[in-house]
Amino acid sequence: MKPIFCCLEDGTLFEGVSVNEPVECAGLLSFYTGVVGYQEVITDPANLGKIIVYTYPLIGNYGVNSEDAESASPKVEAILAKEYPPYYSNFRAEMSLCDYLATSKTLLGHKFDTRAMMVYMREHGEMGAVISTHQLTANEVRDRLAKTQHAEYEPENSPIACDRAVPTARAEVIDFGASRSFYRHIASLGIDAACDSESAEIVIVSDAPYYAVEDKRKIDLVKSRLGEKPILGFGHGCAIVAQACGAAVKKLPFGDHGLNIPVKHRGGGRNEITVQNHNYVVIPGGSTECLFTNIHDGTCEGFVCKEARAAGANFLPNEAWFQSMLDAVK
Amino acid sequence: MPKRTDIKKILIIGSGPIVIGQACEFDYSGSQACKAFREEGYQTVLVNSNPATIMTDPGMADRTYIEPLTLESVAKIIERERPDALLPTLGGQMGLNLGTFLEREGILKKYGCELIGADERAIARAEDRELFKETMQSIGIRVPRSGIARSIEEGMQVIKYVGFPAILRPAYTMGGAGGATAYNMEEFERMLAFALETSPIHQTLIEESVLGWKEIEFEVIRDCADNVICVTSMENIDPMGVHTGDSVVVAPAQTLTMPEMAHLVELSKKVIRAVGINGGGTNIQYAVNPENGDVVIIEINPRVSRSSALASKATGFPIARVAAKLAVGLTLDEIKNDITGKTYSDFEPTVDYVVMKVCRFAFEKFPQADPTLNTSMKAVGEAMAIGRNFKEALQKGIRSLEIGRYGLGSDGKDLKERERRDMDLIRRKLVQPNAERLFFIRYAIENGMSTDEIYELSKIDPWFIENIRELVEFEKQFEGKSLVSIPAETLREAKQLGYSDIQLAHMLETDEEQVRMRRKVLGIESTYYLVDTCAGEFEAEKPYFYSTYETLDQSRTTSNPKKVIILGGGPNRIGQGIEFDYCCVHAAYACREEGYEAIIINCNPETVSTDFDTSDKLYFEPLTREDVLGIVDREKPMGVIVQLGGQTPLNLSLPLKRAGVHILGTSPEQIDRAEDRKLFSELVNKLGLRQTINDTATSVKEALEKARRIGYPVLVRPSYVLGGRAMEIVYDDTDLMAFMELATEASPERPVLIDKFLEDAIEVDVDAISDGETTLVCGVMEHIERAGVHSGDSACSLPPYSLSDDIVAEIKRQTYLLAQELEVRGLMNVQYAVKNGEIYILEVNPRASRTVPFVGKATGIPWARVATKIMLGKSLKEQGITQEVVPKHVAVKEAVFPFVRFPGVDVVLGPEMKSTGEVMGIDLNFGNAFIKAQIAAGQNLPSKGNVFLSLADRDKHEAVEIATKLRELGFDIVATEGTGRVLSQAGIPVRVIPKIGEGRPDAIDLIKNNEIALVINTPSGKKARKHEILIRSTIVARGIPIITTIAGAKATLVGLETARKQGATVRSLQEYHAG
Repeated sequence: MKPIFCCLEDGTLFEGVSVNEPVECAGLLSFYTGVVGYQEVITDPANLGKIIVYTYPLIGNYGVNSEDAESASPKVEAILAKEYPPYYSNFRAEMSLCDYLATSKTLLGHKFDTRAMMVYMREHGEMGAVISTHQLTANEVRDRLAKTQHAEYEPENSPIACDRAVPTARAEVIDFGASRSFYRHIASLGIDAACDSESAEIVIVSDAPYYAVEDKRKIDLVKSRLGEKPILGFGHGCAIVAQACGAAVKKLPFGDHGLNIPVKHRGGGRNEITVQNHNYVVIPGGSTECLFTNIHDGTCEGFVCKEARAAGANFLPNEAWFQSMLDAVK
Repeated sequence: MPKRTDIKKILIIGSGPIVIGQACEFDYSGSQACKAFREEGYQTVLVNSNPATIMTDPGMADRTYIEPLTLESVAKIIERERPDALLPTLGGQMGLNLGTFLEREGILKKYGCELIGADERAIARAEDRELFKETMQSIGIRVPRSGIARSIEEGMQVIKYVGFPAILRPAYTMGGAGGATAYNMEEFERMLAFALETSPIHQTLIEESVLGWKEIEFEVIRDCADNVICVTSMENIDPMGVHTGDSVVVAPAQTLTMPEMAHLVELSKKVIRAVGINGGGTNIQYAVNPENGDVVIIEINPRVSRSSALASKATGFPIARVAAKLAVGLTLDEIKNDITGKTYSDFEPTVDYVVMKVCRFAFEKFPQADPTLNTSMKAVGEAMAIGRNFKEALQKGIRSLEIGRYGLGSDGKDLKERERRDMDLIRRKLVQPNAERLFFIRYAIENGMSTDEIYELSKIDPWFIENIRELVEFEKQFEGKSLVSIPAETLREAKQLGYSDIQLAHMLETDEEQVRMRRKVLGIESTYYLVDTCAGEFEAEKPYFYSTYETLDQSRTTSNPKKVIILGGGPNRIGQGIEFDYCCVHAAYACREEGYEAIIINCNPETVSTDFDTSDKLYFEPLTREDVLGIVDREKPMGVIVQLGGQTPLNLSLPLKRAGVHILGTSPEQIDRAEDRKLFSELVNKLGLRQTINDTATSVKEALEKARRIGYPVLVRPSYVLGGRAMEIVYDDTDLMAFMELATEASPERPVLIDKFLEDAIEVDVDAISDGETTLVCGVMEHIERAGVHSGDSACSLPPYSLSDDIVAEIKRQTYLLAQELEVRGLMNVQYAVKNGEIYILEVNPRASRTVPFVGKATGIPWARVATKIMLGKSLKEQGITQEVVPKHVAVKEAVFPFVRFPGVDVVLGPEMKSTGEVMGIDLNFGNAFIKAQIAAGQNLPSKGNVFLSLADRDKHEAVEIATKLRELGFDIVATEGTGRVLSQAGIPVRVIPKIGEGRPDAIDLIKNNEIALVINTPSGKKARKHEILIRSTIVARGIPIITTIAGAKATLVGLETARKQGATVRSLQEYHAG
């Protein structure tokens, strides 16, 4: 239990205490507003390179279990909470959150005023930060960040066979950072992603870490596949596919990272409350049309580009909406 | 989807009087509905029998009917008003049942009125036990093994495959009324009979017990476009087996993982779709097996409920307001989120705090009642607290309850050492759900009991137990420490764990003020965070606030010099209820009308005062000195209003004033002068007025001497009590000695007060208002029951129905004198007793009384609002109020009691208040108004049949008069021997039956065989005989009307006679007040 500091690149400091051994780490300071799901957030490959602040103050309540992990190991740089209670309770729990983080030496900080941090990010945007036992200046933080290499994600999750006799489609997945629940979800939509890539009818671009969105190599890779087969992108995969189609994307000052984001389909019908975790939105225009809209701020949550036979969504859609995307690009 | 244009006028049904299971939350939801409909341009008609509500303010609906909530009376209103639609989902179970029955009886169809919010099919799928089971099974959700019984015989079949323990759930009841858990055949038979009786359709579900499973609730909302959102989850700390209304509840749920939560949300969405709610909300209760995660659905409420009010206040999402808009066809994505002002209602709120709901019980009022908590709700009120962690929320919750505790122990009020070490007691208290169980977890931990063992005994999730353990461990740092030696960081941490200054003072052996000063020196002061629906993700336009100890303060304090803080009434309890919330709401309105910033502090989630748009700013905080001062320090208001929120804020007036806070209105010293007996006697003497002879005593010997000198009967009570607590009328030395034994044990240094009791005196309640220059009497209310019945429990009539003009004039004169002498600025209430033409002052309360809303509704003037403006410096003249109002119509208030919840408790009235709510009857004459009040209070007055008459010896001389009248009205009389003899001698036909135990059939047999339509039974003395109590509680359990006073009987007869001659009038308040 040592005092630690979350030092922002603009010089702002937030103080807390480390629950485990404090290791200095750097990354994009981001947040998560869900009341549950801390374990999923930690293990989601799309959260590589991030320091996550949980807005819900109690983190660790139900421990950690192997079923709910989104990948083999923690992916985030560090997690910061208001309170980490040193006990947990749930029939599926296998160990405490703190013990779980021990092997990967992922920093768990608590006693942070996480609301103050959320409000700061809301007002100043998500930004780079370093967690340290020392109070670092803005320059020190920036130096440290400049030295930080973004990890290249090596896929560690594999597709799940779809249990339908006749799958809706066979798909090849370009895995830039797919979580286990991503594979479970597409399987539940009737997508056979375990097929060999030759027989695939569509290509699906998975979620990815935020820094992958502006990674030209990834965009080019997707671009090279355009026209061949319909391409769908999800999570940050949406922004990558959109750029491959020539559409512009915008980095949000602070992204959507929660379980409660309301989305409307341009075709009308029932709205959906979606789970989202992204920092970029597509700017529709030209041949890129907006398919899904955020009910709160009207931003584009998904697009269709008929010309390129491509579409994307910032979230994992339900079956009806997925079908509408497929229909639009077929 | 745009709102419907085919409907113009909407009828809203309120929930009636406050009873256990149905409280202020429905005033809150009904008021929101009225406002929402008005905003959308609909005409509104409201019916509710409860005058203490904000919703029945003439300004809330276009037409307001204060009428009994019966099929007959609502049908008349529909006939008269011809609404296009009826909204049954915001008036609690009362509104829902009425709506359903009106539909079933064809009344809605006849007048072209449609149910909106939930149609009859949807209601039936949720409420009818059989249909519910089918519906749930059709979507693959498991329900506990169960069967339906409509008779004892059917029940006997069902129990064979359900097995023991079994839960009984009567259909169409609220708050689990009539519900029970049976562990054996004998219990089962008895409980089943009672449950069938309680259900209005004589249907009971007998269900496999999932005792000890986790109880998790969800609030979901669906619009007509099939959009569904989940507002929040809630986890009951008490596991299954305790009614959720009696459980400590935490929101959001703390011990579910994401997949488990997602699964339950998914199920909830399926449920609301399957049930078919297409413009409203539903509360869903699940039981989750803590060993393996198995889920069964227990029940749903297809309406706004107590839980949804809590969910609203916990998240900032106004469920009732949104539900009302959905009912007229708007969709979630069209309704703005008023808290953020930016986003829409089609989203799921998220929180960055922990909310705790704790329950307030009133077992001290009903010593014979069983204090074990089970599936039938017993709590009379609740408080909600918000903190940044579980421990902070819990400790704030406990001190919000106003049960004399300032946190979870270590406040100097813990059990005595011996009991705290009594492991048998502790184990018992852990096994048997009860109101103090969390404290016993603490004691168990102190005694070294393991979390596993506590869990095994209580089935309370280990996570909650560990939180309490953390508190117990933390406190060890205080051992041997003083205020100076305790490190600042420990002190700060203590505040973050929710410790009050009183607890810290106790642990550091100093006083509250010292702790406060020390904190200020160290810079450890409360900061304020927001309830904003979105965990800070969006900037909120109209959030509300809670205190915590963080680095950032978001209190958004203005430098507005015109700023007033209004202290609310805290949790509902007997003696302090919705009436005071009504006053506080009006105070907020008044402040805003006068251009002042109105700030409310309150912790009761059921109320209108804690609605986000009632005031300019709301602090959801406990009403203790420390918590109020924290806000005052930050806000720096020009003054604080304490006289409108009842006893709770009033008790704070002197401490606040001593801390330098300016109290608006009547000064705390004058309030004290009226409360302090000695000072008050001097005041009465000074004014040349009259009090009953009284004295005080500190020992049994002294009490006996003084009582004899004053002359029996005397009214005795311990000093400094509320709501007539422990007050008794004693008729002789024996009774007095018995009382003294109890009273002196309760408070050794406090003297006992002895007053001459005026037998058969008429009691009069007067509400008055004064600005220092002018004093006006708002209303003179003549009680129906004689002095000796607590004024809160007595029916009363405005204007008086039997007092002479001279007496009323003299009462008014005395009132003016008192107001002048006490320098009243605002409201004042005086209670008088009139006997043989003499007027005695019983008490003076220089504050808003319980009757203020009733007087407001009867006279058409919102007196609490007028009083607030006086406190802000606007005279009555300036407000244009210079005339007293003596209405041409008559308004009668009647009290409503919770006896049906406490089987075996005697129902007689006395000086200790027992009612939870009130109703009003209004008509052109006393008789009809009185009968309406009786019907509204649930007295099913018959027009024919047998009346069982059994009078105490001292009342027997009244028997002939009453019986004659009853005969004239066409009733037959059944009496026990004594009363029967008196009647026979007078030549009145009577059927005499044996006393209990002296032969059969006796009164209980007749009651059980439904041969008795009305009971008039006056108790034989203070110590009612056992069989009398048995008779009375049997009557209550079976819903037979019972009258326990001669005065009540006479008034009822007058009423029945009037009603027979001339039917009741159906007229709206707006029409009455227009003259």
